[in-house]
Amino acid sequence: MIKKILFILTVSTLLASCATVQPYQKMYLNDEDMKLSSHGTEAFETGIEGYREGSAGANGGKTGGGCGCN
Amino acid sequence: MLAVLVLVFTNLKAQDDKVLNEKEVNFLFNYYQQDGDHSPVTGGKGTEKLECIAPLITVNIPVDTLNSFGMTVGVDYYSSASCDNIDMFVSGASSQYLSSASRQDVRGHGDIHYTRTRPSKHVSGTTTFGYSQEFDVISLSGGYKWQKASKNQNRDFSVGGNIFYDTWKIIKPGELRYESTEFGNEEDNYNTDTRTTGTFSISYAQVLTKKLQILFSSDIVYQNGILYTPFHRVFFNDFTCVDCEEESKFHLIENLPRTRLKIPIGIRANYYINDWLISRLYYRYYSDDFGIKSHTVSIELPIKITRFFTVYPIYRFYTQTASKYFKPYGEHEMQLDTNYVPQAIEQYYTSDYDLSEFVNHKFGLGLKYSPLYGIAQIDISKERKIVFKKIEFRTVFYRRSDGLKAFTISFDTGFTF
Repeated sequence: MIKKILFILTVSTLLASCATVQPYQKMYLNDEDMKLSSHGTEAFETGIEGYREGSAGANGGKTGGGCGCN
Repeated sequence: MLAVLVLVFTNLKAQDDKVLNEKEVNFLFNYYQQDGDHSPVTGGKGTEKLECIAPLITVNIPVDTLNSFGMTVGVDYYSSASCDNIDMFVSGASSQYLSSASRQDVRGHGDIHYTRTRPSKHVSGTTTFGYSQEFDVISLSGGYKWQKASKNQNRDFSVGGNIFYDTWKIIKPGELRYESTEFGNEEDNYNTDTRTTGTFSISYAQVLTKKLQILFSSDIVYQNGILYTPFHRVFFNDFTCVDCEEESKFHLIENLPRTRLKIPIGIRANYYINDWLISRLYYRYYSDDFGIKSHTVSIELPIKITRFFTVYPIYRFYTQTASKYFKPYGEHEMQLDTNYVPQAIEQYYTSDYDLSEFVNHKFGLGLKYSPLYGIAQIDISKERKIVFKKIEFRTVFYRRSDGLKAFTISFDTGFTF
């Protein structure tokens, strides 16, 4: 199921990438909340989730280093 | 006329240079608290109460239009009730010969990075070095990231790698220390072990429409070395000791394989619904060779109360399967050898509930105030001024299906000068 969803999303992306958005049309995309990175205030939570959950990565957070023992 | 044009051009250039050379400083304050009843230090039962205060400062200094330096420095100050139980079975008389990771500890960490951009080719490269130290772990790290945007800035591709090298002091539970090097009466009087983590990261961002953009990202993580925590206990199903005291029941320190491969794949989609509402969606699938598979879905809905004041509700759903090495307190099987000495049947075992099967709900709220020209300004000279840029507050609560409850508060403010 997940593979199918990822496949559909990938194909959709490739097809849609043919449409070009011009720089002067990017007023919505340039909004601070449209950034594709996580918020600065979220970094600490991402670190905690890496310690308290069995998984990490693919979210801009740390993937190693230091202690996760507590 | 020419003189006026030159004057205007010079003035504009000076303003551009000033903006491009603006130094930025962010102060971030974080607080975390948790409580639960499945501490791995006491074998999967017992208090998990923990508090952590973690201030952080980030600095970004553009050298010119092509080069910039950055720095992050932080301190984590934490107190842990479960770490206080490392010596729980050691008597007052014998504990004078032992020391442990204390109930309270401080972790200092920092990193520096250098970025060089080549605007003509839409390419940038970032080199990072990091260091962190606490009582029982020292970590060194280095990495490089290469990023290329398309000519029309509608696509962005990045690839990078990081290496972390950690050195751990082997601090065992008090009653399981046998050699003089395990007592730790002096700071350097511990056995040590190392962990190396290598990460290969790749991401691809694509503008789909005037209001929609998405990002695919993945980190392939390979770890080698100490992957268990030396003061985590595992209590076995001790059939020889049914009614005896807990400390007499057969138990060992956690044991896990010395390698681990983690593969997460994430997708983020941000959609500008209208002038006052934005949708930020994220999904991640994760799998590793400890047997954990997980799904993460999160949504944030920034609501613009005014042009510069935003409120955003947060919800995140997380679910994972248990590691094949996990069993709760007293459920790992043991056997007696020919001399009737108990031993573990399985090679690897843990009772750390972070590796168990659970569902975790996170919900919270963020507030952000960030006017275009800053909240306040202080003139420090004719050409320079300190601009108080923004203020952001965020709090989230966690409810894990095994009973662990936690919350965080984060406060961020930034200046440019």
